[in-house]
Order: sequence, then C-alpha cells, then structure tokens
Amino acid sequence: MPDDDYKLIGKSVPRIDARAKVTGEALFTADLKFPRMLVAKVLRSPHAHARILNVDTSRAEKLRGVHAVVTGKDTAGEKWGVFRYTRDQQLLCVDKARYLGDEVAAVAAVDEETAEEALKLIFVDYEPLPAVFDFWSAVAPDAPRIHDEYPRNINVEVKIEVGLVDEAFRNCRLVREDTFLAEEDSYFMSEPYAVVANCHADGSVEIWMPNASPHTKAKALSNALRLPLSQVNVRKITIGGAFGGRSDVFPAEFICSLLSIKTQRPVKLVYTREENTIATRMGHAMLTTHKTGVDKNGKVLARESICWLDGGAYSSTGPIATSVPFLCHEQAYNVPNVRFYGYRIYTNKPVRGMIRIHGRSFACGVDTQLDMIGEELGIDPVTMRLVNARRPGETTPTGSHVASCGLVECIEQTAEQSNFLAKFKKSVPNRGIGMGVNSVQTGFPLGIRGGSQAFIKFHEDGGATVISGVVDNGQGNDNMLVQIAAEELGLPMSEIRLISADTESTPTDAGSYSMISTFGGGNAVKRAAEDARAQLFEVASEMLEADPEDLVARDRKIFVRGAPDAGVPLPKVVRQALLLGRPIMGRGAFNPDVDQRREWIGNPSGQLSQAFSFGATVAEVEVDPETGQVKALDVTCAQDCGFALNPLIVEGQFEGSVAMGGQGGMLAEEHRWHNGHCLNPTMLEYKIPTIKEMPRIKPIIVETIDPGGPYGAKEAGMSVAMSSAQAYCCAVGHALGIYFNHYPLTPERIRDAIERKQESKGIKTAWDIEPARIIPPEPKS
Amino acid sequence: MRLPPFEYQAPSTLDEALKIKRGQGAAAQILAGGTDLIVNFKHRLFSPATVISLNNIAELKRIEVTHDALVLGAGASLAEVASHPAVNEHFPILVKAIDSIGALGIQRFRGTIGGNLLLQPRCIFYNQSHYWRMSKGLCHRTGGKDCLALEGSDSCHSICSGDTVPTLLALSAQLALAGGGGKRVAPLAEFFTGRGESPWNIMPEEILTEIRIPLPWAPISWSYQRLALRPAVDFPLVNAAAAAIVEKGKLEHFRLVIAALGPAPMVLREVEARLKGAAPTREALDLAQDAAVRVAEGVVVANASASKEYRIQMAGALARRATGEALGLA
Repeated sequence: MPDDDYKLIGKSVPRIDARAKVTGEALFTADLKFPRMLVAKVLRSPHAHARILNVDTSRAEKLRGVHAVVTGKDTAGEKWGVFRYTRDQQLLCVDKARYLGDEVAAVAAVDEETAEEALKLIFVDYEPLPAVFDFWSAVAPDAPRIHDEYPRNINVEVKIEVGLVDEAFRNCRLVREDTFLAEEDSYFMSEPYAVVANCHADGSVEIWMPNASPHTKAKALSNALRLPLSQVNVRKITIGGAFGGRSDVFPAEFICSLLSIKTQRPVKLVYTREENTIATRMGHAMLTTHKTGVDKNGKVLARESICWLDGGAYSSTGPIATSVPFLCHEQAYNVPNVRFYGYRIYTNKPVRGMIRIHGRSFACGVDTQLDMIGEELGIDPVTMRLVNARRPGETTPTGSHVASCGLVECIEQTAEQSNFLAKFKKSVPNRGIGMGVNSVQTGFPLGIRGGSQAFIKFHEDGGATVISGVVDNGQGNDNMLVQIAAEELGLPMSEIRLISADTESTPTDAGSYSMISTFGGGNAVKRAAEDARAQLFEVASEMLEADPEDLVARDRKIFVRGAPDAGVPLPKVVRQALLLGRPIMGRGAFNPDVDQRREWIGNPSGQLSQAFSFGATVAEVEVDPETGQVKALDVTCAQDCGFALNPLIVEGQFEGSVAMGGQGGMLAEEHRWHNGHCLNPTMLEYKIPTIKEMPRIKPIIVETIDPGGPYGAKEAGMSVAMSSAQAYCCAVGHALGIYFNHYPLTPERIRDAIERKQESKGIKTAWDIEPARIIPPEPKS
Repeated sequence: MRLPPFEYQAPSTLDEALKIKRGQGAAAQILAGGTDLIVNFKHRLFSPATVISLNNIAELKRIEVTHDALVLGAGASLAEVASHPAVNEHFPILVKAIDSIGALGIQRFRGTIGGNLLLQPRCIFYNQSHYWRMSKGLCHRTGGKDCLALEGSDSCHSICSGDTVPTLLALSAQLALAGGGGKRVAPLAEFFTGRGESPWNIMPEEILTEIRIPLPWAPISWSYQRLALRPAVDFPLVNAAAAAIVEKGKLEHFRLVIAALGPAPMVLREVEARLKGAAPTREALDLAQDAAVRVAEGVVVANASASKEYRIQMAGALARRATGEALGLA
C-alpha cells in the first residue's frame, strides 16, 4: 500500500503551470519573436495525386522581401519514417504529391503578406494522376499505386495468431460475425502547429515547436538535414495539446530549418487551423470485422478480428497504429484464442497517426458485439464484461504479464454507482445506458524509443533544479516531475526549478506519448531524487552523527526519524557538501522492463509494456428519435491508474477524456470529404463538444499500486477516453434498441438507423457493411 | 491568417456612411459587428477597397416603440435587442432566436441585428480558405459558372443562415433602407432573391438602417425552432418560426417560415391559407410537416454540415414542432 505519510504525492495540489496559462503569460511557439526573423509559408499541392514535372521559383525569388525559396531540390533526399522500414515520406515533395496539401515548396520573406504573394509566383507543372480516397478502392487490383514499392497500396500488414482459434470456434455455443466502421477524426488541439527555427553561425539550429518528444524530433531533423545530432537543438516551449497528434515528425520543422539555414536568419512558420488539420496528422478511418465465439456463460473462447485502416498518403506510425486497437483489447478482455489481421492502406488523403481514441470501430465493435451476444444468451452487459474481464497476474495472448489490474473493480463500481442493472432492465422510451471497457499501455518502447534519465542539482539556498527530457504538452508532466522531486527531497514545490524537454541540456526521454511519461520519466526523476537525497544524507549523517539509514528529508530539513526538531536545515547540508568538495548531483534512469525482441510486425510477442491501465465507463443518454439528437445525461467513469499522484489532475484527465472520447468522439467528431477535399478542416464545421452539452461526470479513481510505477502509478485517463466512446455507443443503442456499427453516431446516422430498424428483425447491426476481409498476398510476378 | 488590405472608415453619422457608399458602391463593404465578415475577409471571400464600420453611428443603434411598430436600429447589438424591455414584452420569439446565435461572449455582444439579417449566405464549398477553393474550382460566387454542390445549376444555393431571419419574417417585419434616391421601406418577405450569388434586393449604395416589426393587434403565440449539431457556436442546420393569433378559438392569423435551407427563407403560405379562419386541430401538424418537406425538397442541396436528406426531413420535423407549439397543440 502507498505510504500514507506522503507530503505531496497523492494530494490534489494545483499545477505549477496553471497561473501562467490562465493569465495568458505562457508563451507558445507562435508568440516567439527574434530580431531579423522571417516568416515562412508553404505551397501545397492542389491535386490529391500528381507527378511534379517542374517547379519554377524564379519569379518568387525576385519578389522584393523574399529571402529564400525551397523545393524538393534543396533537400538531401532523405525520407522520413518512424521505423527504418517505413521511410516513405519526402519532407518536401520531390517527384510526386500524394494528397491535397502535400508540401511542394516554401518561402521565407520579411512578412506574411510578402510570403503569401511569393507563393502565387511559384509555378508548378503537375501531371494529375488518378487518385483513391477510400480503402475499398485503394486495394482494388487495378487501383493507382500511391507508392511504387507497395502493391495494392497495402502499407502495413500485421498478423497475430495465438491459441487454437478454429478449434475453439467449433466448441462455441454461439459465434457471431459483425462489421463496424468509423470515420476519420482529428485532435483539434487548442494550439495550431507552429515552428521557429534559428540557424547560428556555428552551423547549429535551434528549433521550437509543439512536440511530444524533443529528442525524436531532433534525431529525425539531424538525419534529414545531415547535421550532427548535437547541432540540432530542440528547445522547450509551452504546448497547447497533443492527444497523439504531435508524436511524429512533420515537414514543417524540416522546411523551417532549411529556410533558416539558407537565409541564416530566424524563420517562423505558423500553420492555419486548416493546415494543422490536413498537414500534421489526423485519425484513421477504420473498418473492423469481429468474429466472436462464446460458451453458454458468455465467456469469449475465440475471436478473429480483421481491420482495415485508411492510412492516408504516408506511413507515419503505421505499424503501431495498425496493432494498437487489437492490443488494447487483448489486454482488456481475456480471450485465450485470438487471430488478428490488420491492414493499413494508403489513400490520397492526409496522413493518419495515433489519436487518443484510436480504434473506435474496433473498440465499439467489441462491446457492441458483447451486448448482442448477451441479448441472445439472456446475459446482462455487466455480467458479459465481468465474465471476460482481465484479472491481475494473467498474461495476454501476445505474452505480456499483467502485474496490476483493477478492471473488475472499475466495472463493479461504475455499475453500482450508476445503478446500471436497474436502469438497463427498466425500459424508459428513448433513454439508454451503456458500458465500455478498455485498457491501454504505459508506453511501448519497442524499437524506436529508449528509457528516460534525469539529473538533479542544488542551489546554495537549498533549492533544486530537476533536469529531465520529459516534455509537457498539456497533461501536466512538468507538475508531475516537480511534485515527485519535491516529495523525495523534502522541499516545497516552489523551490524546485525544472529544466526539461531541451535536447541540448537535458538527457533523453522516450517522449510524452503512449502514456509513458509518469511511468518512465516520473520513475527516472524519482530515482534521481533518491540518489541526491542519499548524497545529502551522507553529508548530513556526519553533521548529525547519525546513520544515513535513519534520516528523513522533509520541510526543508534533514533529521533523524522521529526527531524533527533536532534536524539540520537542508540549505546547510547543501553548503556543507560544497565545502567538502562533494557537490550533490542526483542521477536517475529508468528503462521499462519490456521484451526488446518484440517487434510490431516481425515478432509481435513478448512483454509489450511494463504496466497497463484499465477502465470502465457508463454513459446514460436520452435520444430524440425525431431528430436523432442525443443528450448525454450522466457519465460514471472509473480507471485503475495504479495510484493517483495528483487526484485533481487525474480527475481533470477523466473529464477531458469523456469530452473527447464520448461526447465528441462518439456523437459528433468526424471528417467529411468531397473527393480529396476535407469539407470540415476548421473548428466551426468539425464538431468538438462545447461545455454546454457536457453531461454530469462522476470520476472514480481505482488504485492497485503497480509494482513498477512511481509510487504505484500507471497512467491517468486514457482508458476512460477509449471506454467513453464504447459506453456512449452502447447507451445510444440501448435507448433505441439498435446495435450501431457506423461511427460517430451523428443525428443523421441515428435517424437513418431508426428508419432501417422498422424493416429489420432479429439481433443484428444497424447497417450491412461490407466486411473487412483477409487480403491475399500479391502473386509474385 | 491576415486580413486583406482595405481602407477602414468609421463615420459617426449615417450621412457620412451613405456618402462613402454613393462614391464607391459595392467596393465599400458595411461592417456591422463583423463576427462573420472578418472570417470571410481572412478567407478572401471579399476584398473590398473600403470597409465602413457602423459602430460609431448612434442613430443606427436606437431601439424604440412607435404607435404601430417596434423599430430596431440595424446597428443595435444582438445583446441590446435581446435585453430590451419592449422586445421582451412584444416579441419574446426574437429573444429566443437571438439567444441561439453563436457564442455568448462573441456574437451576442459584437454582432448586430442588421448584421445577422444580412449574414452572407453560407455553403460548405464556399466558406473555405482561399487555398481550398482554388484547388477545388470556381463557383457562381467566386467568379465561375457552376455550382460545386449541384453541378449544372444556373445559380448559387448558399444557405441563408441568420437566426433572426425566419423570426422577423414570421412577424411580418419591414426593412428601412437609406441611400440611392433617399429612404425606402420594403417588406422583408420581398427582400430575398433566392439566388445565393446576389441574395438580397439591395442597391450597391444602400445601407440597411432599421427593422420595423408591426405591433400585433392581439397577443401572439409563437415558436422558434432550430436544429444545430451543437447547442452553441453552430449555424442552424434548419430553423423554423411560427406566429399565430387565436381569437375566440379561431385562428385569425398564422405565419410559418422555414429557413437555413437555401438562399431565401421560405414562407409556407399554403399552410397559412389552409389553417386560417378555423379552430386549430392536430391535422395542422401533418399539414405543416408535409408542406415543409415538399418545399425543402425543392430548395435543399448537399452543401451543409449535414446531408441533404437529413435537412429535408428536419425541415418537416421543425415546421411541425413550430406549428404545434405556436398553436398550443404540442
């Protein structure tokens, strides 16, 4: 159990960055100004698929105020890809544009007007090519090939099979096959993407941009710019949200750096909201066919899932994105025999990456189908989930040991506090209740990412500076690091300074995505603080004539346990250490205990992540059957976050998760298209929820004290985000007696399903959607 | 995104504003709040030589009750109109419509009643960035000869999206316009052309100065219905307004308007004619719904954030609800 004696850990302390953010003092990348700074603008392809025959920049270069123009010819020709085997993106197009918005050229000029004027003076000869905009047409044998090396536009193929799937299906009491489809979604972080690059006389480049991993950005840029890694310095800056959409490397930072190097001046590139939507990342559209077999008690004995993902024009995090929807659910539910085929398919649309509720069709499909099976067998949704829920100590099909797991508690507590069973059984017209269950990883360091390291140094007045590579992109990581260091060192949080997310001065870190920062970076800082404290105790033990083992650091003092009044002030110990020539320097590192032989495609087996979070959400909704509009009334959400380091922040994460995963993610958020054009790239037409429609939210923190996490902590909120989508989906379905299989559930989809329901009988999904099928390998020619 | 270059004028009298308009006509654009227009400027939908702000013209902000009408200065802010006692006393329907507009902190204080009435009609193929539109192709409104939402159409189908439009029309409002040959008063019902590329019967040198709503001769029962994907921020997907006067059990006056479908609001005169003079019955609901669907089918194209089919269906649903509420049949 956690130490009840913590001074700061486990307490709801206000975030250290709260004041700067609410007063507007916090500076974001777009706020940066430097002397002689130029403004950059990007010329984007007006075609969804076209060969670039010629780019004539001569007139743009002559325009007064233009300092540089760059095209594919100015690049070293390095392609970017998250993995060695997925390097398929020129960060400035060379031969082809593959989606409407692909970067073809860029200018740096004295101001924005001049830069925009210059774009009009760049003349590009395109040879338009036939384009494909959905996975069905992209995999057709005669479809145009988007990348020459990828037949049938299949970018990534993942196959996982564990157990005796076919045999298990034969022993099932009931087997169902259903298909679920979800459209593309987006992040809509409050801060649109922006980059400032500043090239120096020594050849080094400093770069500021919203990011989820400064070290990953630096490595990719060093490679693309052919500069030594030490010459590419990504700086810290306030970041306005990520949600999975800042983890990758984008052309913007490469282009901005190229322009800065070429002009030897600082260059700023600020994306419009539309550019942020189409030219960074968005979520995948996804088609999932689940075939699930159960015994008479509803226990799932076997499942085969086939998934098609619309990946857009480039790989991005392809192998991860293709696998994660399956992996979350092999964690959440204990299914002994599983088979998974995942295909990520190229289309001529913007590039897709990971998103907070990645895998809507997979996840909602799993829970919707469990409800359908439950109806056939006469088993309620809570029992269906409890029968199949993951328990601690078990091992997932692909070989991850689950050390801590409070899923059963999450299911039971949300069910109890929402009075689920009574409401589920008592039918009130157009009112519904539904439950979602999910699980996420605390990082998956496979192949591309290492651990986290931290240093701690002291000031003569006893204050300390923590140096960590962890980046805070909105979730509160800075606060988390400071809170941990303050706890360990016995200092108030106000006396801890933080240097972080700067590749020149901080050690490496895995990056703040895939929910690893508390587990990885938090552990590293904890260890650094423990190391510093041990050094302080060495010195203090001489001053106090006590055994270091008996010492305690608290309230800026070091004292023998039980005798706080006889202690020495911490500043005195720090100064004594300096006098003795033994300066205090804490060092800590943490590498998650995972199986390094595991690989996404080549070897999807072994410990994936050291710990997993689990969550259950219950949503209660009311539907207006005439308009199809849904009003969410109450949401009860529970997550096993290991241990809540700061309950205030954890609950805030839960609330944001309900907004993004359920309210927005399941009721409204989708991109609409007209061929390659995104019809709703901006905040007016892409429907993220407003505070007005948010339901009452009851957060329930479940603590299991993970043996590997700092103080037992895992991650905060992701399992709620994912399970909220499932809960909303099942609740709307329950309200109308319809099993929905096309997401999000917009009013017009709901109306359409209501009309179809009148024609159909039996337990079936609302729409007949062409199932995702195994794509046979291309015959060798 | 930057604004295009223009000369900015903020005269303090209507006469000065009219003088600029006389000189420059359509090249001088009126800014009456600007919560929509500024976005349009940034998207380069308009690049006027001059922008004339009405913000300093006190005479355009007056709200007063004359012997037979409520007169709203076109430059009165939406918040001022919605909080005015006379508006609340005589036309609470207008307060309800205004309360549904945009976001409280932005549109309600900055936006004006005249600006909402003369809101540029919207289209999902038109209200996009310059880059977006240029890579898509031109349409009737951007100098082309086709409609991107309905290929082959000879005019633009952009959507009249002001929340006050069907409300004011249901209240038989009239508009006062200055400029040209002086001052003229025109019924709102005749103000819309039905063509998105030139949506209003207004001369290039004219400025909308007042909206006059005749005071009813008996208490009005009313309804304003609006459907949007979110309860704030969004423009309506469909809206409907109904105003009725029932005396001695007989429907003496009835007006039902549906809007946010095409370039002009639609008055369902057929419903009006069928219902007037008799006691309202539930048959009125089916009548209103069927008529609205029929009218919507002739107007709606696929150019909004919901499908054509859904919007047509919802025009029927909202006409039904508005009728039901106004006639006390709900």
